[in-house]
Amino acid sequence: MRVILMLIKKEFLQVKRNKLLMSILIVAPLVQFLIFPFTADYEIKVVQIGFIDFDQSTTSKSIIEKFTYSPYFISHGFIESREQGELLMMHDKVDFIIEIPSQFEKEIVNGGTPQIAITANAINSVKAAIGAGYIKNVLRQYFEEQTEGKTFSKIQMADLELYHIYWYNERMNYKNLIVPGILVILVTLIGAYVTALNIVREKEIGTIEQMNVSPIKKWHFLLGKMIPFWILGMAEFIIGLLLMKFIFGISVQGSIGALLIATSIYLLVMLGLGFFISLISRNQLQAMFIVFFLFVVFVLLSGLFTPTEGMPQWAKYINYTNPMSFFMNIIKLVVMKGGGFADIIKDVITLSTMAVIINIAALLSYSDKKRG
Amino acid sequence: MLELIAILRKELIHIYRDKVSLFLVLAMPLVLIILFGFTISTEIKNAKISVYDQSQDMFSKRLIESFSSSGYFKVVNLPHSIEEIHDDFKNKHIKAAIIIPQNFEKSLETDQKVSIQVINDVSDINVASVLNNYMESIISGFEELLNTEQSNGSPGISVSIQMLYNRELNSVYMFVPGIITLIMIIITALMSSITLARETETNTMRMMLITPVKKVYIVVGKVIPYMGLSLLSTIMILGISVWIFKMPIEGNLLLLLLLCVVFMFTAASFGLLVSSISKTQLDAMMITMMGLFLPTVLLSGFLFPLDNMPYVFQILASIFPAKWFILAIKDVMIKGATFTDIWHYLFILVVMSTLLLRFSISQIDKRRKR
Repeated sequence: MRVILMLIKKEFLQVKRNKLLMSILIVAPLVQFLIFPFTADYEIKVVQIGFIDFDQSTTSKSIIEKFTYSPYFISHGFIESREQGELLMMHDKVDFIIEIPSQFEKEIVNGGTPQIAITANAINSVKAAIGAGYIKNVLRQYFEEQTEGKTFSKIQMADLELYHIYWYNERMNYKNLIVPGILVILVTLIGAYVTALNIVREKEIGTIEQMNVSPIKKWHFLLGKMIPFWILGMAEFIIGLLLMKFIFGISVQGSIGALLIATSIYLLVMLGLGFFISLISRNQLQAMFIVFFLFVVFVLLSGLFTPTEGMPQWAKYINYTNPMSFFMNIIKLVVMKGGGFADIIKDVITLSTMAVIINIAALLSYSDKKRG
Repeated sequence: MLELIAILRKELIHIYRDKVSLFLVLAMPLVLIILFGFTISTEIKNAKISVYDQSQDMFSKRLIESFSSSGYFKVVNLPHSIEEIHDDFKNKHIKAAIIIPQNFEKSLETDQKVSIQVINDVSDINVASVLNNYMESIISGFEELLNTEQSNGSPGISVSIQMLYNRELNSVYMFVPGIITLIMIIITALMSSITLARETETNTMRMMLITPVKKVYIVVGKVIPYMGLSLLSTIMILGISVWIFKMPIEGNLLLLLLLCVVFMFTAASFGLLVSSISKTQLDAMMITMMGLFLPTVLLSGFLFPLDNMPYVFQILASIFPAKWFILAIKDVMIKGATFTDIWHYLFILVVMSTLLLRFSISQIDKRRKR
């Protein structure tokens, strides 16, 4: 017991002396919290549109006017020709070009169906699809208003609308997903990254040899490394929760106790992973690459940035081995949906199993390598 | 010159011996692009929903039918009360519940505005907003169908949409330039600065400094192999994106490569700067991650649209080279831009690398004097 305490003290001394590590532990969460939520916003708020009006009639003008009223669109004014339109799109000045053909008004009056052509800059596929939807909606509304007011008033028009109620996130705010997501990223980075690099460094400069010849047992070493980083990770998480509440006003809806238990187990998985990686890699570069590689895969599959529902089946299978996706699920359940311990028990058991497996693997490979 | 070749050879041996890192570096772009290309889709199929049909008439049944036949939704339950909906959210994990009001058919026929209530599970906002778009389009399709039935083909406006540059709305188009940027940064800036820091950390740097080799050669000899490696990687990414994801290269291939080389110099200059101010590998890694990698992920516009960000962040984004590189590479690859279209992006990148290089050389000098 005394040995472990000594090791923990040593580790904290090292962390304290390493000014860079200290500043990273403090600055990284702050920076991530202050920048990430403002940049990570997929919502398409404005699209730039330009108009080519070959008709120049009152109808075409009133359609264009209709667009300028909508908050979704920034009008780029009239474009003389298609060539000019293409040039503007080439230089990203407009996202959409709406072209009204000549004889547009005449055809409408004569009961025809003239065609409005929309050209979209589809490099950003999401923006193109959603923007096209907005435009169609405006056109439909315009047409409905026209038919109600004038000639076709006798014909009954069906009029449907959707009225949304948003559960768990009433204002459809992206921050409510992104901010808890940052917490997950932070805990992961502290757990796996810092631990792995720390141990490999001992290997590289040879201090691990000194420990091996001292009477420190291997589980002493393991605990002496894990406990300090576990404490750091939990501290980061709690600071993160406070920042989340006081900066973004997102408070944990469910049981905080359950959340902390889940986090501590998740940290054990990540610490074990970091430990394992540090033992199989020869230098810090290798360790960093392995952690980074896994980290990217974990994040992309965890459903933080994109829905997991749309993934192909093989990706879903891979996700069963992804601790981050289980933890993300727990966070969503507890922070947003107000879940308690009973709701997350399954995920917690999965994470615990992972923690046991990875830590045993780390301990075994440590004994293979170092104790022969 | 001979000295430079010797250093180059030494570095290549280093790279070759560390097979794990080499493998990871070459496999990373592959995995990234496959993950981005296949798993990141904003399309959702068979999302579970419940429909509380309070009216139970012809129209409401047709509406439910058009939801389930769209392929986007799967109606898993037809509850009879609000409480049952609550249960469905908890037990059946539905993503949304739709409540069709009473007298649905009658109200539609008598020309009233009918509103259908939708309850969304927004704990995953990505899912919720995609599903909402699907619902809007199903509803408006249903509405149009009813109207044409009732009015026997009244006049209307038809809309044709042409998706320019990316006809199939493939999201890979957005990611490929971003992945190239990230790989360039990882290999050219991160790896070279870390290996330089390692020499300092393990004191082999001192050994090299007492040899007659000039310091410039040591540094340049360190960086060049990684530039080669990142160029190889870039070509691999381009190959995969063209062959597997059918992404076009509309512009001149040489111009594209020139662009990549220029950005590689920018990344390499940053790597030099980092290694000149960091003492350990951890320092080098953290500075590159925080100073270049993270801002590139967040502020380059490849993951998150720049137009949505607050103005301060848009200005901040312009300071980092990645934004300009991604703009230029998209123009060349997808829009077929020529040199005259993108020369200003190239110019910005060249200016940025010159400044970074000047600054890092002055840092290295300062250190030597100490």
